[in-house]
Amino acid sequence: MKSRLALWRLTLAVVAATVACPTGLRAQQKSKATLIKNATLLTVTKGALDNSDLLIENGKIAKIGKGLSAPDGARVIDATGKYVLPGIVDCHSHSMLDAVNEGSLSVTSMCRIRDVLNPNDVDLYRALAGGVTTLNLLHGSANAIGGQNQVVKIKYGRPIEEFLFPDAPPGIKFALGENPKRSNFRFPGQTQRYPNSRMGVEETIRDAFVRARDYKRQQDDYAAAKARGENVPPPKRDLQLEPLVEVLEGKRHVHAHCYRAEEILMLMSLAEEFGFRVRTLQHVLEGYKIAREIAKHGAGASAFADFWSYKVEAYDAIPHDAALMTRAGVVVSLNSDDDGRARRLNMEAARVMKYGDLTETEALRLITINPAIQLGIDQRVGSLEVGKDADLAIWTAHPLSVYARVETTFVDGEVFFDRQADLAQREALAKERAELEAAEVNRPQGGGAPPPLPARRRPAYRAGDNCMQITKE
Amino acid sequence: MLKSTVSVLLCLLLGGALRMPTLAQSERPGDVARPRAYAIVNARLVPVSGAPIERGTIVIRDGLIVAVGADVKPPADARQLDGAGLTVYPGLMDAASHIGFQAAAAPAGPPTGIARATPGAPPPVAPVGGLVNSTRPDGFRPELLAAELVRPNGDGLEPARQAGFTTALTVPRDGIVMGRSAVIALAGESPRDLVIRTPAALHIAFRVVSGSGYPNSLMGVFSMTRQAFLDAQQYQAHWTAYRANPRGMKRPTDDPSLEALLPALSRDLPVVFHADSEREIIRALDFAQEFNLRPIIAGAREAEKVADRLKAAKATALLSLNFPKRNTAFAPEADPEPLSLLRARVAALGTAATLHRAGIPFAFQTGGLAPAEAISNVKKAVDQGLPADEAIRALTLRPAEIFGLADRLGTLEVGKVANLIAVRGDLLDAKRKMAFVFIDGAMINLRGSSVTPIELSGAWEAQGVKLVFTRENNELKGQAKLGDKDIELRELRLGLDEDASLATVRFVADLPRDGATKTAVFIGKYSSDELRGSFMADGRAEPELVFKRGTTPPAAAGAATDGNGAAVAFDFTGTWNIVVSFGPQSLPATLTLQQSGSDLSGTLALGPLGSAELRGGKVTGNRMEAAARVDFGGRSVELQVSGVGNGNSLEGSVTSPQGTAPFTGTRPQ
Repeated sequence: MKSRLALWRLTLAVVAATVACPTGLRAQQKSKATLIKNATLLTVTKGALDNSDLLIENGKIAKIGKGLSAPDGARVIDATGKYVLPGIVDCHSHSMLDAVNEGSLSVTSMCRIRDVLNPNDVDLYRALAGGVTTLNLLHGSANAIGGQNQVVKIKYGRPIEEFLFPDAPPGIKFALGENPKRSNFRFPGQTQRYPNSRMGVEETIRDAFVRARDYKRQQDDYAAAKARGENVPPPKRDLQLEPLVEVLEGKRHVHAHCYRAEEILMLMSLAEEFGFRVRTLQHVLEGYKIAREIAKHGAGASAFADFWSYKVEAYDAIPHDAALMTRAGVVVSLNSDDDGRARRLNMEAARVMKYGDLTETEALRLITINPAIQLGIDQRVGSLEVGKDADLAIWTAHPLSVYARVETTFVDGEVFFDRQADLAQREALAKERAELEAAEVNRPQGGGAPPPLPARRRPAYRAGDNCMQITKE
Repeated sequence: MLKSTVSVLLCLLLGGALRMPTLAQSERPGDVARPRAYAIVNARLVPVSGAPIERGTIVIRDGLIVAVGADVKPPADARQLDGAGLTVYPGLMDAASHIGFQAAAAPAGPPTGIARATPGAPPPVAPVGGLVNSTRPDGFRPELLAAELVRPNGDGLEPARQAGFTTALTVPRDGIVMGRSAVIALAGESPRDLVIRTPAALHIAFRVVSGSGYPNSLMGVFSMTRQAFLDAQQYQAHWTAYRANPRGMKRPTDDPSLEALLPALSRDLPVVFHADSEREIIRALDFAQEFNLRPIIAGAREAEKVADRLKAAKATALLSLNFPKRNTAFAPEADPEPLSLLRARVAALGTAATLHRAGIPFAFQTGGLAPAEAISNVKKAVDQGLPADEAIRALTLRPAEIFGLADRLGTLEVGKVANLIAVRGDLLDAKRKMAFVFIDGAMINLRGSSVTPIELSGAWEAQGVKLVFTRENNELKGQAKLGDKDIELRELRLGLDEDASLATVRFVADLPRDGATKTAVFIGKYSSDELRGSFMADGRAEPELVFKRGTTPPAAAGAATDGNGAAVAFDFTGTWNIVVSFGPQSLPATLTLQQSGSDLSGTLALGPLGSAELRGGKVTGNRMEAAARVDFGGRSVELQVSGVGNGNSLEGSVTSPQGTAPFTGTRPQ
């Protein structure tokens, strides 16, 4: 007994030592194959596999089966009684952004989320601790046409380039209703702008696409004239219209923030008029009213389980929304739109299952393969299948249980969150903190200003939903 | 004569619209024209370009270094300065600053474009927007040239000179694409004299400057800047095509904003990105890569984390000496600071050492810190492993190299510009004393406790001669007592000697000599307790007289301390005759004070400005503070007066937006 205790202490010390040199730890993990044994594999696309093993090699899921043997040097995790779920895909996130809204203009398609990523945002680590591995980072909803999105894998602690989801189709944020029309509120210091009504929002979007069509024609004319050898000045490149041309050509996905049924119908018919399809409807609280029309258009829907009434257009909502749209044949996902909710998206799925009578797999699809389909990345993530990226998490219980906790989260086969490692490093962090606080530059200044109030200690939904925030902090 | 001196002084003190005067040589007491050549002898020389010379001489002539070495003989016509105990370095360069501009206190009107100084007109304010004809958003103004905005009496030049800086990169203050910087000398007679290189670099800070218009977010800032660079490329292509063959082509519009980006796009002009955090630096390098620009990172607090990328981009850094530190008080109820913040503050001190090890060239910039404090902060980087000679290099040669001026600045080498400093003590030690500063071969008057002109009033005694100086209505008067004879001293003048280390006095007196009365001129120098000098009569110098200050006048009422040495209430009530010193010049003034409890009221009579009411006067122990507002050249200037009383003497300073001037004074009984 005593010797076991000593061994335990030694293990702790080793873990602490590895935490202290994170680069060494990472290099080791990168090269290492991992075998997860005896787990319940919630594959999502191929049912639940009891007492099964999953082998990770070179960042991919190499094998799934029973009684797999570990290659030389592989890390073996005994997951008896535990569950493995594909990494959760959050189809609507504003984590790791230094700016959320460019709220000055009604069309800000020239803005790129890619320009303002903050890979050090601690909320990313918290999302990993909730089993989330992929985020669709969206511009806010202040404008009828917002900025360009960025899909990322949460490689917390790595350079920004490593976050970018390889080959994820580009997207753009649209927004309908209260937020872009702004007739019921005003940002301090900002003048009222066009549009002021839902009609105006429609016209703003149509106008932008007409301009985009003209721009494309102008570029084509220039190329043709140049080819004929004419002396023509080069036309200006327009970063605002170029992404809209891509939308018209079907190369860029539209993710539209929306609430009310009639404006959703409006956007879908506007899209059909210009010959493209809305890729996802975000929030879509009244989607249950027009689920068949959404299915017919071919849009995906990304909703909340039971979050509503934070503004007038968000009142006519029911907790069966996601389930009803699913039954109508819509590809439905659940999103967080919030750093806090991102940590418990499994609970969102469980709630929809409870209210809407979905099957276990249908519920799990809402946070895994469905959002992956919506983002066009389902060939790589969203389910446990051989050949897919090893983005997954080991849970202590079934993820649809309130008792479930994430034990370990893998992204591309590397560990980015491990509960035991986290616990083990707390002592070392406390020691480091004590040392750092003693440093001259960190000592409180006599007569200095009082410490600032924490920026985010406020009601989460004070003015509209948090799509309207300007910056993350 | 007196009047013109006074206006010169006022100009110095209050920063009027007048050009900065040359330190009117004809009005300097006891002084001929400024020397053309100086030699600092027996000093330790740190040339930066080579090994230090433990004991050597440096000679400068007509603004250039003409000789440096251990066995250099000072030329006969050079003014010799004793360098014993001093170390001579090349003049320091601040690698990024906003100095030399006019105070930005005036409310900014509509964008005025680049105003040019016209004599007698109010000083131009840095424009807040782009040019009038620019259709670009606020914050986009690459057309702005710092060289058009610098003034010899501009903000921050004086403290920088006093601290030992002789050149600086100065950058238009605001905006996203902020404009183009200039390398300037920190002293000169006209704005054009200051400019060494313009434009030195294009400056970009990816930050939000607008509250409502586009762009009002960091995302929009990037989009706007990216669009502008694309437009500049198209602008150039359009013009190129048009110049080649205008027939049948629409005339391109002239756009000075886009025009200003072209040298950056062709890599002729480096682009300084103001970026501190790791991700800000990465974003800047990404942007530079996107448009094939030559990046320099200014601020660069977390540059150590991206050393690989900096190296790959062949980027250099202008490292801020304004190291982050906690500026809040302790509060038990407050959340603890994030670990990342605690780490970042400590890590920032080691950035310079890391960059040095990684072989990334960097120069130091003051980063908005007081120049003297910034130099002392270099020590913190040295403590983290930066070799001391590299630290000196980052203040001298490196910035010159980064901006392509190493052929004329940055080292003590023959043929280079005579920008140099002589320091008593370690340059990086906060206790150092700047002994000499030369800019373009001209000696800068240094202020500080050792060079504040000392009040001459009182009695001075030498062999059988007694001099008594008194002040009446701000006018210094003197009498000599020879035996029982009282002789009036005429044409009495005070000043500072050339190296500003001693006060000078000059007067004329009729002396009994050889049974007759002869007019003699006395020229002397004095410290607080000794006055040395000699009379000259008939063109012949008499032996030197050494005066000692006579017994101090009997202690007046209101002594500063009681028997136990504790401060007791001091009563400032009365009329104080004070002399405000500005460099070698002085300006008499009168403070009329009325104290009631700890409140102080009264007036400040300052030369021809008339008298100004004191406001908010407060007395703490024997310290007084008050504010006054005077009109000068149509401008209202706010002055802060503070002083410490001791018996019937008062010492303190007057602070204006242009700087601080010390004063001393007495209260006649």
